[in-house]
Amino acid sequence: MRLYRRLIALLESPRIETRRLAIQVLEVHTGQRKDFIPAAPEDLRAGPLEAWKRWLAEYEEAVS
Amino acid sequence: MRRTYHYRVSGEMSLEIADKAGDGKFPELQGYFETRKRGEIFCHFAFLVVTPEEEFDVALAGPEFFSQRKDGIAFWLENRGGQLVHWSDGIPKKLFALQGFTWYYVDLRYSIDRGAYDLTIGQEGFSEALVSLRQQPNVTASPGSAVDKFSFVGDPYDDHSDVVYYVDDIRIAAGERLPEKPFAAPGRRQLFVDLLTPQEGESPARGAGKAGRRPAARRQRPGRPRPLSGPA
Repeated sequence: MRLYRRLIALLESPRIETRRLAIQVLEVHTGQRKDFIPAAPEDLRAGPLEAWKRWLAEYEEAVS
Repeated sequence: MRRTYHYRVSGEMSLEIADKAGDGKFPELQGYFETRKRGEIFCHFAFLVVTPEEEFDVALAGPEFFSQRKDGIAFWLENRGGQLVHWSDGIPKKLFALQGFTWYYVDLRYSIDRGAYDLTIGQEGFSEALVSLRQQPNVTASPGSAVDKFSFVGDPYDDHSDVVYYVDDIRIAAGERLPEKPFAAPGRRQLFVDLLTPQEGESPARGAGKAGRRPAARRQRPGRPRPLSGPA
């Protein structure tokens, strides 16, 4: 779970390479990207980022 | 793994699946059918667990085997320390605490196109279903994720399980078009299971398994990153 928290936090990195690596690792572990495009403008990343945060909240509740 | 007269739902025998912690392998019943890329898959089976605290897994998967990606694992039931969970949208969602020596009846209706399933689980002696879920995203929330195999297994990850459980009444069918009422027969046909093979999964270091059988490789537990170097 700590891994997921950290990766999802890194999706907000100002560095595109960091965002790219974070979403790649998330995809390896979950099979999903939730339409997150690391190179997209910030306003287009916002929706998928929120989807990941909701997913994380649901995951944390499920394993608690 | 063996057929047994001891516990059964119907017919003369069921299948006993027994694992042993630390033996370097795991038992698996794996069945294959023609790859389905659209339509619906219906699965029914019954299981009884002697050791409700011990891990076992049941899965429906595709050409990418049990990986967490499209066409990989689509439906996954896991017994986690006595709590049955189903993995949906990458999340292990709790169902209920398992009781030992109790038959549970599982009905799954998986829509390949939608990448979602309906899941019903009943318990012997009860008329009301324990679980009745609709439109649950498959493991990776991937619409169009194909399937071609099912699996009943001990502990394919950590070799920590001493599970003993029984499986009976396994039925799998496919339908291109569904009637309104779930599990109505018209249009459904029984799938011919091309290969039904009990297997023993071995660690990669021990080799590829017996001739004529597909080796059951140890799997990567989700959430535990594998080193970038080293064996796959």
